[in-house]
Amino acid sequence: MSNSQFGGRVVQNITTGLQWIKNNPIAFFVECISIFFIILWTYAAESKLQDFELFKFQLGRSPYLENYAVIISRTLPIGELLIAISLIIPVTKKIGLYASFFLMFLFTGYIYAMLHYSYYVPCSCGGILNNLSWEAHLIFNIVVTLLSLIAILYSGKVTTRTSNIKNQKLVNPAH
Amino acid sequence: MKRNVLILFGLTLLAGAILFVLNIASSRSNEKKNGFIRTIVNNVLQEKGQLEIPTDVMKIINVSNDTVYLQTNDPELIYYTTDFLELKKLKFPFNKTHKFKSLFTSYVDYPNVYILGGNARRTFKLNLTKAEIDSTNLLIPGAFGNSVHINSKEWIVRYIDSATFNSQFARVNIGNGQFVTEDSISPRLNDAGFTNDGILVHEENTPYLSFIQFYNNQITLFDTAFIVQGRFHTIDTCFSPGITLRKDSTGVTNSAPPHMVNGPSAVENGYVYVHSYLRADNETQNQGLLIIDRYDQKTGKYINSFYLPPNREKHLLGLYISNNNLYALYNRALVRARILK
Repeated sequence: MSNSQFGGRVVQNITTGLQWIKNNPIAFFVECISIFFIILWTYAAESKLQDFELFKFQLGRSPYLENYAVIISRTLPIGELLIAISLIIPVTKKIGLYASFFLMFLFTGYIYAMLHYSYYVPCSCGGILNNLSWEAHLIFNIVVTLLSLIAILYSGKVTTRTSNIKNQKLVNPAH
Repeated sequence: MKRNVLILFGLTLLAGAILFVLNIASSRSNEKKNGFIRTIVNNVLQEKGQLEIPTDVMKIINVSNDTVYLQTNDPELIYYTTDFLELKKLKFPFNKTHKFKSLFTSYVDYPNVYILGGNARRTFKLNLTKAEIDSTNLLIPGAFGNSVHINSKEWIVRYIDSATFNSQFARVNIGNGQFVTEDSISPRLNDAGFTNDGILVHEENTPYLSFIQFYNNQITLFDTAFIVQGRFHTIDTCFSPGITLRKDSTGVTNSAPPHMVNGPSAVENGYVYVHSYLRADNETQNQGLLIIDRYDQKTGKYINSFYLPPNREKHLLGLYISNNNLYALYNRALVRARILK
């Protein structure tokens, strides 16, 4: 394949991709959110596992989690990785989105409870989020939870639309 | 779509239930009866105003001529209010470093602003009208906090010795950077000051300072020459610190959530005002109001207790008393109340 042919193929692919986005904006939006969650969960799990002892220790300083620090420190990073994997596989993507919503909702509620009801607020975030204050973290989590909610609701529309197309084919086999 | 909404609703309920159980199961020792009785006096405070404040406000710096100065998380920015209706900004760029920003204390004696960097061990004095900046490197052998302004040249700070991890009070001369350390106030625990951490309060124009500890009930009264004038305790029964530590080669930190006994405090007219986190046995219905215990500064004698005016915010960040006016700083609000008795 010559360079000009290769270049032509790339341009064609890009054009096709852009056309797909234009025709399927909702599906594209859901894909973007899924990719965002894959990166988020992978990063979150990696930063916890990288400094596992510190993560376990910091969980032990949370008034709500001090008694469950060991079990949560072991299961949470694995859970986050599983969610990331489920978001990559098309069949389990929806489950991954539900799990993302559930975990983000749980985290948001936890931060809210820590800020409003806890007598002691430790620092327990990893990676870049460590630079966020608890209030900023709460806002970030609310936004991300809403994103997962939107993705789930819109992914329903995408599925419905696809199944409608399939149904049309079944009804009208001549096409 | 209906199925999606149902699943989302179920997941929301499940998450809510988990949070509810965690909340119930968490140790809420500060909300149970703690084995002591308070003398609660009503109508001590008359609320005079409430001001909404930005979330970057960290503490009340000081109140001078009815002007309230508020420290933010930026050393170059101070908020102030003169009429308690509007918050104004004092912005004064100076050559600060990231290290300076991490731990600092400000003090305003207009037109002078003093800023002490606890980690940077450096001090700046800015004259806002002449646009002059003086800077001094402090010779103190460790990071410090709890900085209290004594006069235009001297501050008293609580520092952590970098070599031994002992915490001690020191009187620092910000003119030449020299310091004098006490040797009879703080026990040597090599714990980076965690065990006996607390809040140091000082009333202007007096030589006395009171150090109220966070994790036990001790109050130490000493003077600016570091002579101990008395060791007292608050009315609760927390004689030993409710804190466990982890020490390793990198330093010292909490190994579990510490149990706070006392918090933001203030001093005026020979009284020490202490916000206690503990509920007394006779406080059956406090409706979530925050309590202030009042003690005689010189004798340590408990006088009485009163509640702060109701506020939607439940975390008290700072307390300051000036000219019989009490200032309570919350996360998003500054409240002013007149002390009537």
